[in-house]
Amino acid sequence: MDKKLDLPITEKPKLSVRNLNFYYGSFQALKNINLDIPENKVTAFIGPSGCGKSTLLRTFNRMFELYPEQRAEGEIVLDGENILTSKEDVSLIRAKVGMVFQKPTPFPMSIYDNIAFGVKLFETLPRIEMDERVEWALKKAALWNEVKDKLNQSGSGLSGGCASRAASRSSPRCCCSTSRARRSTRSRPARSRS
Amino acid sequence: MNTTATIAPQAAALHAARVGKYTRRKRVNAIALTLSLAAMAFGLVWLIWILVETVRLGLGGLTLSLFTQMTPPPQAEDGGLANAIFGSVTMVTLATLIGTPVGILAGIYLAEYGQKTWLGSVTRFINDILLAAPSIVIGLFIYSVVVARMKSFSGWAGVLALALIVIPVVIRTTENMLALIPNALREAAYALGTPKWKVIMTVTLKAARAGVLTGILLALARIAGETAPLLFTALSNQFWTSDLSSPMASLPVTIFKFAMSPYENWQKLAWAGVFLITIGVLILNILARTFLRNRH
Repeated sequence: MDKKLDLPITEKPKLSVRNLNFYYGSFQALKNINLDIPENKVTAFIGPSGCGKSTLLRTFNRMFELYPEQRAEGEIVLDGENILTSKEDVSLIRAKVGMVFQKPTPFPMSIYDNIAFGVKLFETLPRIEMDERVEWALKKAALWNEVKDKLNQSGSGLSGGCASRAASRSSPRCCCSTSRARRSTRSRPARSRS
Repeated sequence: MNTTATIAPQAAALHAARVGKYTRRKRVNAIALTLSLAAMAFGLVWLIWILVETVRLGLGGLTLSLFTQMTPPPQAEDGGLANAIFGSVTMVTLATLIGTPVGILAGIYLAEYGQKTWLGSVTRFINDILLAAPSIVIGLFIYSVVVARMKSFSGWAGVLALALIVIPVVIRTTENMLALIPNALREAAYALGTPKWKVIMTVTLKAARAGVLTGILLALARIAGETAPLLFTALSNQFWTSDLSSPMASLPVTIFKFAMSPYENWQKLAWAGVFLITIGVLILNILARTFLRNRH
């Protein structure tokens, strides 16, 4: 966490998990998880391969719902609301709970559009402001010098998870990451901010 | 001392076994390679022969009057294929314009919404039947539901019959190409809070567009040479017509009629028509591929 940010650490957890059980079909992958995640702090899950770190993260933005055979029972309370039963549109929950994946997946469009994609979903910006936002995101991701001359080229040519990483910076208030530690020395993808 | 003496023969035996296995593998490899090369050569021989024959017999008939004059009566001096070319281009274009959106939408449904639903399975099964249906069946079907009721052969009936051939091809390729898109790409889009329709329109369909376009081209190439469905629907027309509610000439039907005739001028025009279809489909293919490569 950046020192200069100096955000207040509140006692109340940002996210609370209560009695969470998760199933892949008939296989139970998570058993009775109870967990509080504080605001403005970096929380990391570590554990051996296959122990359910990613599975747990994927419940925080209901990503598992894309697969009909996967289901979660219990409570995941974000800002006082259980997101598993929330009436709010799942897209809006996912916009709040950002996610950076282990494997980079740039969208089939230009580098510029890859970054503007996430912004355009929830904000309508004039071209100049969008240019500034794209530049800001790329600078934050330490990519600006690398790509500033080829913003209109395909995002698939980009090395690493740059595009999706930068795109996910548009507005998330929580951020989960499935990246591994050895990759994160340069990109520092796991962070929470608000 | 004793150990080295026992290990050496073991190592030698192991080495001999490895060499033996390796020689056998090399022999099997050589046989398989020869067989596959022979199979390829067998296929290529016929393909090249067809192309050479088409060029040899068709190139001679390639004159300006081919594109400007109507199909001639038997044993006439001049004449061309203008009305047949126009009819073919019109009907093939319209059929593609009708069939492509329907096919892409249905393919999206099958790949993104109905993978495991009963409606998806039924649609997929029926589509497979339609895909394998002989084109003459489709021609007769349109004949009985459109031509017989309207009491007239028409260009529209031809368009419909061709569109029915386009749809299953496009459905199948769209579904297959969308299924090839890794779920990680979908997840990345959903994780940003993208609604489903937008994920499909801006991410998955875009990632699959090369394959979808190939499917459309395959369908187009197929209907460009279809004779049977037009024989019962658009029939043929000796004269120029741009009215789709009247019988309309087309290249395949004209070729069919002219090639079977005993008249030399008709046979020559038939070969010119064959040449035109082959070259037309080839050029279309090359154009689409270069167009696609120049984009991201």
